[in-house]
Amino acid sequence: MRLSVNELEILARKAAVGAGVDYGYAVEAAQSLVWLRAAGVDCVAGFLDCLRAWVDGGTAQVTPAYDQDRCILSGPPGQTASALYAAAAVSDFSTLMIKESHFSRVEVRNVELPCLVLAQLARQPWAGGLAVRCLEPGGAPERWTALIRARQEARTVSVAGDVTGGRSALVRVAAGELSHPAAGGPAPAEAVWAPDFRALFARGASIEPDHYEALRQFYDRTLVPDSDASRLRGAGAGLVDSD
Amino acid sequence: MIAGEGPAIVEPVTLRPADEVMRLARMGSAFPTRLSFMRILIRRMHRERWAVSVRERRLDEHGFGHAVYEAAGPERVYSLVAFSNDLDPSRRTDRVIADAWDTTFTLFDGRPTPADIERLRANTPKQEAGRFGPGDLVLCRANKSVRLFEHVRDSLARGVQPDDGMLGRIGYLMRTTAVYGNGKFGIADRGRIFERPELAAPFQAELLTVYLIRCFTLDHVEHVARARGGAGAVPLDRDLKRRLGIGNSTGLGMAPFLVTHPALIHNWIHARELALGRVLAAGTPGRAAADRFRTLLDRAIHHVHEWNVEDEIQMKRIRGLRRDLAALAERLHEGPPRTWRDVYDWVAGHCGLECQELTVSLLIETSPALVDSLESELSSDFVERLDASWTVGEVRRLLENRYRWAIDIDFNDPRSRALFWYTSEDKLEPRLGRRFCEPGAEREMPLAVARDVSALYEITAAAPASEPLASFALRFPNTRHILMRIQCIADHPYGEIRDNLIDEGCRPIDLLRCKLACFGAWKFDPRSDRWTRITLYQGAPLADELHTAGADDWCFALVG
Repeated sequence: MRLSVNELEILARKAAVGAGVDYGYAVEAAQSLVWLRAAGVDCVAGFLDCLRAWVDGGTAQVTPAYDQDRCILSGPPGQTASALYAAAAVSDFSTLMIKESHFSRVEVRNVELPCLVLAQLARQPWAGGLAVRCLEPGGAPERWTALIRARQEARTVSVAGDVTGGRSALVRVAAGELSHPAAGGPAPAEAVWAPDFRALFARGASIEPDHYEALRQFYDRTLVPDSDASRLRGAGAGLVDSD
Repeated sequence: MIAGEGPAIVEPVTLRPADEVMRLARMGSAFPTRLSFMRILIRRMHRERWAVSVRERRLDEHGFGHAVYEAAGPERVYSLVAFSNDLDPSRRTDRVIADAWDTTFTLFDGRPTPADIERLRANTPKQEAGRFGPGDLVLCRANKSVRLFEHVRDSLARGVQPDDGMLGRIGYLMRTTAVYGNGKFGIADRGRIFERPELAAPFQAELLTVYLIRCFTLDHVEHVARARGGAGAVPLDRDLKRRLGIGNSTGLGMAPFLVTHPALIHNWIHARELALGRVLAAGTPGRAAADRFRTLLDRAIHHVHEWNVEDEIQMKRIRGLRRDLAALAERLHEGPPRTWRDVYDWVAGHCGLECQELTVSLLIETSPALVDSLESELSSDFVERLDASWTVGEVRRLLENRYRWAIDIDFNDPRSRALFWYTSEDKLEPRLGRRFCEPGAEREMPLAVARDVSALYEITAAAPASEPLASFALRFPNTRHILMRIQCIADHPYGEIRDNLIDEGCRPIDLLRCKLACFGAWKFDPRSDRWTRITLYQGAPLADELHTAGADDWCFALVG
């Protein structure tokens, strides 16, 4: 089925609220989901996994720690960090890195759906020039690398590697050009995400019916049955409007 | 000084402070101005010589069937696809939960093909239960004012004109009960159309829809009268047609918009205040402007005398407004105003809020050259986000400077949190519940700005002033939305309503009137403190009058 962009954003935001995510974080997660869609990345399934994990207690909020010139965000020991919070947090601390030079690197460890982190960063007006790496747990090779570039008002993202996978990972953000450990230089971009909102508005956002239903189930948790008092006082109440 | 045609614009000008303007009592006294969105649309249609025509009309003798109305601007064509149905009178209700209507409409982007019309025939009459696409811009429905519709139909069929008193009192043949845009039910997102000059100002697609519905209703009643009266039927007199607008019932569904779009609302109100400021700064009014003001004042006095409602609170305010306007007229009779500032200051010192806000509308109306360029400043592409580099100390300073009105509210008093806003399960529409006697408060919508600001102020008292919001927001995640909001308001002060929207004394009708005045609605007719009827386009030029010289001069329309 096809949704308007506005429908997708509201559905995602309210689904997150229905899953118990604090409103401000739900707003930003939904905006990032739409940004990804405009860039041609469909991660609704991953977003749903995030909501389920949050509801089930399988993921946790992050807290910051500081180690020399690094800000490290992580959940409690052994627990995966929820992308719904970690994405905004990485972005927030990267703001400090860029604007205040408090540290030179921001990391979030063991975070689910790392592409949501990348989208949240890419939406920020100051994000041009940020280099982002996504590493497998245990120091395995980079799953993906990305470089955010400012292009007038919009940001584009050059990506190398598998970005949309849902496995948790370490995401490392730094200012400046990206050094790829294997190549010893900038990572070769396999794809460039250039969000095209005009095209998205023109065609709308397709969504799998079962994903829509799953989001609606979370959304429905925000709804309240009308009370009799409300019905009696609402527009047109008590009237057959044939006057 | 800004160069341009007409009188010089002196800037910067002194604006009425947001703390004064954005109080519910004053917002609930608002009147339309030259910058209201309907006025902007009609001016553009006049300036660009738009053509409105009937492209297709397949209605039976009862007026049931479909019709297509076309509005052609210089670059694009928009089509109103109308479906008229036989509605059981017992199902005719203004409530948003209705599931059948006399007429349903879609504004289509371009000219619909027969296949488009068949697709819309299968969906438009279902309204919320239908599904639409990016080529469908607006979805709407309307019910007849049966009493007036039948009177006009029967009169015209008999070859006589309808009673103009009855026509003026009711003011419309049909009343819309919902007008949906911006992506609802799959229709086009505003993002798809906002770059078009003709739709750049707020709600232009929605208000074009309503204007075309007005055209449809006037033709529709004549069509049915002709079918009944045959050769003896007469068309509706042009002057009477002009007195007919489109009715509208508006309830709580519209209210949260004023809270959830602070940057946009700032732009609307700021433009109006800047317009007023420019007029007040313009010095001594010329003779033509002074004469224009007196003409408009006379018209407004007559208009307000024709404004009668059943609601006792509003009727009392209208009577006060009549007295105030008479006093203003008497004062002006003593001699021309030295400056517009003198006029405004006298009204502010001697008259009630209704008269003050009506005077704002009059003053803005006198000076198109100072005002009309502000049309381009009404939209907003602001994106909510948190600037996490702010410190807690900066937040507290902002709260103390901008939100003292909220901080000083005692939220330990249950009366100050007696209400809660929620989204209804029945129709996904906003509703207002009583916190201590109705279920669902734990699911309330984030509209309790005053309470959340007050809580934020309390929480920040215990936090280090140097703490950046990056870490504060993680420690107190439920404050993120209000942090984002106050940062927005720092640059958009007219975007915040300076009243507690969950107080037991809150009157949502004040929110509705403010927004509806921005649209350009007249004849506010509150039916409770939660919903109102209004009239749109009453007195506006008919489709074949859009190109006449007086096409923009229809404020304070007289209908008696």
